[in-house]
Amino acid sequence: MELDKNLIQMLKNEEPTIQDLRNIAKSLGLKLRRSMKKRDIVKEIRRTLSQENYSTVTSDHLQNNKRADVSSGRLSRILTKKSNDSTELCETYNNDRLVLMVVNPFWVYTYWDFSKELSSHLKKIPHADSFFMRLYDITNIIFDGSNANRILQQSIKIFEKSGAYFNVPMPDADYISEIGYYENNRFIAVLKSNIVHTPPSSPRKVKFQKWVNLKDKTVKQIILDENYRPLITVIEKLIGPENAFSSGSAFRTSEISKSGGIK
Amino acid sequence: MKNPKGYFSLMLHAHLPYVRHPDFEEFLEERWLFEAITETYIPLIKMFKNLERDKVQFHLTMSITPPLMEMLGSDDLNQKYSRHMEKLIELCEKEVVRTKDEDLRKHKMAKFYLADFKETYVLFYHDYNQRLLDAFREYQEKGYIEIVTCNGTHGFLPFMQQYPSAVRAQMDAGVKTYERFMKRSPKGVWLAECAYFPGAEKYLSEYGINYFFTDSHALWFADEPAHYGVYRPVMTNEGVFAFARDPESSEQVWSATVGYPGDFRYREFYRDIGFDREIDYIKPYIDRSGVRCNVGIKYHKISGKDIQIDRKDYYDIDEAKQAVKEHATDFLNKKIEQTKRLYGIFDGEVPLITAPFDAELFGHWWYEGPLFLEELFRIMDTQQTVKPATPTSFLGKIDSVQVTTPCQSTWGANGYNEVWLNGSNDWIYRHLHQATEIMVCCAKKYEQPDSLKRRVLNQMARELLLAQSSDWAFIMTTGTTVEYAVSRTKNHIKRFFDLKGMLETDTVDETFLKYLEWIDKIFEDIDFSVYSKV
Repeated sequence: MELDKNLIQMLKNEEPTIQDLRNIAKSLGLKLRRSMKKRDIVKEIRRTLSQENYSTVTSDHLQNNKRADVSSGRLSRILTKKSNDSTELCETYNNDRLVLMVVNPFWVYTYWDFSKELSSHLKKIPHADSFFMRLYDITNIIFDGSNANRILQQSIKIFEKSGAYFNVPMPDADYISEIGYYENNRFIAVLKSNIVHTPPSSPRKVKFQKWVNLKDKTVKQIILDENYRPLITVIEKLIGPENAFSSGSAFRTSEISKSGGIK
Repeated sequence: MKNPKGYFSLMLHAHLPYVRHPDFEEFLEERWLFEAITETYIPLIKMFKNLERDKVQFHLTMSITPPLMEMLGSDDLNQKYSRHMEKLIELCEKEVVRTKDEDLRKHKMAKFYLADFKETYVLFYHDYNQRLLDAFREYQEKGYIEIVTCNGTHGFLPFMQQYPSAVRAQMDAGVKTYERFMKRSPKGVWLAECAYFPGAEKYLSEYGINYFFTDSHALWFADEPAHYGVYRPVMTNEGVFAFARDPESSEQVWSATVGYPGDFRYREFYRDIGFDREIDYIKPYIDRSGVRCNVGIKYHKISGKDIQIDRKDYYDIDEAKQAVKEHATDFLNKKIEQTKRLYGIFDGEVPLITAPFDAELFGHWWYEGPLFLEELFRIMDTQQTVKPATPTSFLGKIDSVQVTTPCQSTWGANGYNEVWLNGSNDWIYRHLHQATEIMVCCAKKYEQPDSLKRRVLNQMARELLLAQSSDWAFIMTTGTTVEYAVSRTKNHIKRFFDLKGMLETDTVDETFLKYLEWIDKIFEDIDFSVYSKV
């Protein structure tokens, strides 16, 4: 069995301690006798790995064997430091899906996935290399497919990638996206996304304020004067090259960059 | 006694991702917890004790996140921490002997560390019987601190908002875990990464949460901008209060250029004997693989700007304590000046200065941070202009509050979502969303599962929650320990789908299930059916 061979090879290369081997055995759910020697434990692990009913448990461990030759760590580290290419996740869930996510007031991210049926259908369409991503600004309207405030469009290679970032024209706005193609000058949408709202990037101008009295729970609405401004004039952060990671997360960023300490 | 002109609300966010590997005797990333216990959590507890002993009135808020509570309550991690400290004390004893023939300043610090580590060990092992959460609970019950919860596994809620039950499951785990360890319900919540989206308050309200925190621009750019800026809370339409971060306090402490932790007299984080001592000597005390890491014994100070790491001067704790006094005084003076200024602008309404920080900044990163906080509370107690408060105590002092909806925001770089959604980590969301949808489907499908299937469904929920930890996306962005973050994400997702496969084919492998229940043991009282609620 190939995986088994890999493990044994690794055990040879890494010279694990008997405690390492006991840990592996424990993680596989094996019960060992105290008197067992290194060789016996290896044998026991080997026997277990060849059993069908442990295949799922061991797959994680075994796939890490691929890393054995490049890791400087000892066995315990290798087994647990699961590599990027070990526990690979599937590339498609065979779902028809277009998802829109907000990055910040000016950027959105979208990813897509296709069912086998849709995928094969799309591949049969003439000029199938000409697919488009559309982004509709639907702020303050009930979108019926034809009444968007603005339509933005870009051609996109839907089979070569599965996600992309798009710059949006307006913060504090509602967007929905579609993937589609043109047929006789008509846009045919094949996937439609969820709606997202991009956050504002500046203070809003408002005409009233609502206040509540915490004692008697009465609510009061105040009509604001045209020249009204909040009491505090905010000094907003000027975004530039110097202030990446300058807030709460900075601690963790600077720290892990050198120390391998907390996060 | 005159009424104060304003209040200062310190909020310490204590969090680490759930890193627990019971299948290994030692595991490098488990040191994150050990370092935080030794350098931050225990020093904070010592500070509480000192201030209480000296009858200093102090109040602060702390979030202790559910994964951190679970780790601090874990028997195997606590045993590992005890062993870790025993080894550290052994190393420090060697250092005391060894430094006798080296620089006197090193010898002084070696003796200081030895006494400090022994005290830490006694507090942990004997005073609190390896149950540090008891200490925090004790000071909450005494009325000095207010502990708030956090959503479940510190998941990034804005990316779950299209799945109400996923947000609810995060809240459910956060509240239940808090209740299990703190023996009462939480009044407030720290939303992971300070990430708020309009509508989140609905879920907080469902769980009886009275307040949460936001970044500053959440109120500046609110639906109706906050009249008092960040210096008074606002109430959302659900009746939940939002307290926003004061940028001035953050800048004074945080700033890489003018912040206090950069003072030349403070301890240099990056010089550690884990890297400085010869390998044969230090090997038993670093990672078992032989990979060098910090051990927590450091003999150098920052020394000066642009001084190379190998040219740093020796550290002196007494010199650092002098800097602490100066900085605490400076900070208090700034808070007094700020309070008076705001009080004047507010026409007699008292301002509240909300200052949230990662708890681990104090002690772990900024070694003298807990001493700074202790000194700050001591001198704050001697004046009347600005007094410490918690969100709950402040709400009891005010009569009216503005109603508005804060804007979508986080405390990450540039204030929005890009730290948790960029080219380095965007691949995770298709998997997290797919798993979430499947979790919801399964929860609806299996209304009355047998006990074995119930265990499978509950473990699926645990795996999904663990995969949702914002820490993994964060680490991928910062580019350090990426391999670990990637593997954690993939492994939890894979385990989730393995479990789902067993459920669907009606072939539950109990050995495998037991293994996962042991490895990913978080949230013992989890109930998967939270995913079926509409």
